[in-house]
Amino acid sequence: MSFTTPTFVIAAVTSVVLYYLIPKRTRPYLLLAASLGFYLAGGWQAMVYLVGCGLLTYSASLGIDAVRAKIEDSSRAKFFCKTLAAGCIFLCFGLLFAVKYWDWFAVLTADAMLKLGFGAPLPTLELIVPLGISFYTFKSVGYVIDVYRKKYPAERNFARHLLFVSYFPQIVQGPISRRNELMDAIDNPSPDIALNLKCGIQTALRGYLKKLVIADRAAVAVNAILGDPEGYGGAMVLMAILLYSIQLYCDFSGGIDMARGISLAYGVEMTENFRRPLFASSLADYWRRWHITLGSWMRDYVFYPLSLSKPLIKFGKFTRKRIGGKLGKILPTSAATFAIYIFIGIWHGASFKYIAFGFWNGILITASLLLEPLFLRVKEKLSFIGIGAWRVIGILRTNLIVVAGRYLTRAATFTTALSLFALLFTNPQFGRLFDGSLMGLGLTFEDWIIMLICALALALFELAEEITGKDMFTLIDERPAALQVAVIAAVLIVLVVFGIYRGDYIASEFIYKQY
Amino acid sequence: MNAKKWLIRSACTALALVMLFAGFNILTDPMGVFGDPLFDWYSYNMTNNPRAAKIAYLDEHHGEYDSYIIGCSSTSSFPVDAFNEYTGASFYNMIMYGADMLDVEQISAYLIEHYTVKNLVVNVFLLNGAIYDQESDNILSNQHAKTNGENPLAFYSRYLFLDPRYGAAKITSKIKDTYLNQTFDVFNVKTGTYDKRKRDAEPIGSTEAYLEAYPGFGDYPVYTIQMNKIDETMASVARIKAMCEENGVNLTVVSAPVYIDHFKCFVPEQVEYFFTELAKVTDFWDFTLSSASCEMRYFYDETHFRNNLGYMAAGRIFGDDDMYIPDDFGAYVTSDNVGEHVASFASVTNDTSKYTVRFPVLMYHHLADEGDSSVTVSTEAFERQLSLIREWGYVPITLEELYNYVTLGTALPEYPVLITFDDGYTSNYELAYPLLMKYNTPAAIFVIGVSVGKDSYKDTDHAMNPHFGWGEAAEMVESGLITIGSHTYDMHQWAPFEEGKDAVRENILRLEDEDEDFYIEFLRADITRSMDEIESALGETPLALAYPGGAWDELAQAMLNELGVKMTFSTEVGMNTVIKGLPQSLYALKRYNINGDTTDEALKSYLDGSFTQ
Repeated sequence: MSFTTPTFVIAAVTSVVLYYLIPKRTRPYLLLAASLGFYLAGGWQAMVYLVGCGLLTYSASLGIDAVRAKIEDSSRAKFFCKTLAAGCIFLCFGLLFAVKYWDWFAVLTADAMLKLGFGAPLPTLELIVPLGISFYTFKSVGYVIDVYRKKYPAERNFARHLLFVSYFPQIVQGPISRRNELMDAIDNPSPDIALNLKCGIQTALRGYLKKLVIADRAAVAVNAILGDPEGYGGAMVLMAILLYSIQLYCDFSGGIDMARGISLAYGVEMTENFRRPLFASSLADYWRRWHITLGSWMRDYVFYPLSLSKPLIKFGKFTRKRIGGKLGKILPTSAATFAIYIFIGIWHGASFKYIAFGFWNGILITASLLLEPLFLRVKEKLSFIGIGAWRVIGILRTNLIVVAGRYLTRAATFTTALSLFALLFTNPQFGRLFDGSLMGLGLTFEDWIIMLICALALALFELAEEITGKDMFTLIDERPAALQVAVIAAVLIVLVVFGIYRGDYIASEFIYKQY
Repeated sequence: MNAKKWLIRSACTALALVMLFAGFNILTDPMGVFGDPLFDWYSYNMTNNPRAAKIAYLDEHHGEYDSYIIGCSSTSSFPVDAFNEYTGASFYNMIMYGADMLDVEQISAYLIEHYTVKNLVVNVFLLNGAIYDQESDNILSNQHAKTNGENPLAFYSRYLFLDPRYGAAKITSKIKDTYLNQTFDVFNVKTGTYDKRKRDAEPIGSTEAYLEAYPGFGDYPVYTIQMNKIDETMASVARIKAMCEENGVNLTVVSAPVYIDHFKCFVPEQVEYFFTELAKVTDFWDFTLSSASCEMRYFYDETHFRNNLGYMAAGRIFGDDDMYIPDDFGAYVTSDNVGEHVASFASVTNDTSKYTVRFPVLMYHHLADEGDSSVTVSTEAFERQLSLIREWGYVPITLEELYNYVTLGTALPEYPVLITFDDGYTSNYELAYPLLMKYNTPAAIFVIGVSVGKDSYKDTDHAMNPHFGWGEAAEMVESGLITIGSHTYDMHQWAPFEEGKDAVRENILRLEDEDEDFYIEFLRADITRSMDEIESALGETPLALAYPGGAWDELAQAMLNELGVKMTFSTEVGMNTVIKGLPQSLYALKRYNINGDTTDEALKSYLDGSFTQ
């Protein structure tokens, strides 16, 4: 069930009302029921994976705690715990691999399998990909690792564990919360009901506005242009990729806003997942602002263990000795960074383009690490350029790189991405940007205007947040009451007229034409 | 503002907005479900959603009707007035685009239960075999909650919170609204049919011209329509029949005509099954396939037959011999003859020569004893032309003969020609009439009402060519050769003589920037006066009008139809094609202008159609 369906909104509002009517003690169970209900609405088959993942991680973590309690010999205990954790992680990721990547892998290796004399390629499984499986798998695996690392004891109450795994606001697209953070928030919700509702409504409305008014409009133009890239030419394709970047941000962060908003209404604050990525001054900074919880998950559960792993430490010793200098020092880190971005790329989906996307980020970030001394020297030489100006340059450069990377994520395949990019040089057709083609993409003039106004308003608000360090709701709260009401009215009108009603309307002139 | 205050104010704002939206939707009521308090514009509402708006309309007006014609969009062309005339009942046409038989059944049930229903005519269209129960919650095609039993709360709230653009569109359409129908108001509220005044006013001539105007007939797509809903549809028809029997309603089932290329999309075995099953349920009038199906000019588009065919269908059902109906059009089908009937589909053929005639119209103005000029024909030349026409084998005909050919299907000579005179000059009476008598040649004269019997312009000092009076006109009509038509009463004004006037009506068209209502009233008064004067002076209603200056448009032609003018003449050059059963083939007839410069060769090329400009 999508967050944007009326059924969901009604169900969510009902759950919030119920939440405050029942005793505090029972509230987590209401959240569990709501989460399971939400997940069941998508079909019972997916439920098997969810509960399976929950059971697996629940028993593994309990097992780890039990081993530690029962076995005194710490080296044996360590071995058992490690085996349990690794086995659980292997199974969890195995499940994820099976549903999300197996078929791609089977097709990819079909030729090789035949050439290698296996007789037949690997069979495809054609399993449905359960909703949010990447998100809850990562969450649960993180939990098992935390228990293994003795960050906190294993959860004994399966219902509570299942609530952590299935918490519905974050199951569709994150954020990927840590167990302690999420459960602490659920156990100790913010007590001010009015404030909870206010924050929840504000955040959710922003999400709906981003998604329904901006992202869904941009999508129409993007799909139209990329449906016929040769016809529209490279300039329009670039335009589409730019719009796609806006679409992706508004869609994804809009979804997170909806999720956070609903959760806030319960008084449960979830981890932030976006922090104004538009204003990132470097690609590394961008990844600290975009899909933050994925980045931090990778850092805590992949990057650090990898950096501290025996082979990499050996490799570090080797490079420091043989290569030396700055390069020798950072090469092992770079290798780990590189691995992370490839992993992030693959996380997005089963396709070479995501691997390429990982490479693209990995290469650029590694390069920027390597070239950092050079940049610093250049900066020193060009000291007449102020700090602020450098910041702006950094932001523009980062956005350019990010947009370029979007060719990879939006195109159907890796080669399509390359050919789309090539169009900019082989067949740009710059004139198409100004000859009225933009009006022929399925968006009316008013669609463009409302989309651009909202996108601009969003960017300006984020700029204000960036400068003042306060969030936009606080900024609005500081204004006179009348203005606040006007903002609410404007948001509601725009949302209703341009968000909710969009798509149903058929001009009466057209009705008769189809009779 | 603290959080509590914020919540209260936001909730109030939201509530105010909700009420604003709902209020706007109730006031504009674009689907007519709230009684359309502001506009009372059901033609618009029905265009948006015929199913809901018609029921909403009938709830107020069902007292005016006692019989209903019901079915999908092709049903519109079964004419309410003809059914009323034949049965003495008062019909309402309950067409709904895309209607399936479940729609028909549910709405019939509602009509029978809530209103007085004497007769029910149900169109079981071939396409109904392919669709059934397509009812959705689409605000444009769903039924009224009253007819399909939907929860009224769900139904009305859907319209209460309708996209406000529908209401806004209604407001802008109201501003753009004109006398004739536009795409946003396609229904005739009183009859329930489509408002086809525009399409029924368009002149129809040759097949080539029709194809040019409606290329869809030329390359009709060939695809297969699978009729896999026949059983459901027939079960529904059976329930309708049972319902009618139970309630003493007289049920007539008809199958509407299908254009031949569209018919080819259906699978013959399925067509046979469709009609066999229908015959098991009820006897019915089948118009599906006949020679008329092969004539594109009998169709508005590839899936909708013209009102003209609807009149023929009604005539066939009620045994009207006083009109043209193709012999093979319509058959009463029972379970006994259904096999034979369906078998006859294979042998349907069409021969256009049986129902169309190509002919020229000549246009004269003033005659003079001698001296041909660009506006005047000499008597000598006129006489020579009259004799040549006969010599070359052409037979001059009267307006009435032409009219009867189209409406009654009576015969015309193989090479007919029509001779016309514009303006009504005395020379027509003094010089032309004796020669027409001599050669026993009929002709039509179009008189300008205000100029009849005058030799000065509208009682001013401006002298003009004298015009014959009503006495002379009566004498000529008496002879049986001359027909008098209208050239308008006073819409052929001569600018130089209309001193001090801002706007001069040189022709029938609406003046630039003229208010449409004012124009329509002016036109109506002018034409009515012209027709009335001719009728009171000559004892017969004029059939025809020649457009002053040849200028005409859609609105003028539609107005003339409304005022009972059967034929109109333009000054466009070319041959005409008249078609039996299509009065539109008598609209804006083309004419060849004959003047003092016209050579005999030119005349010949006009008559045989070889003339090119």
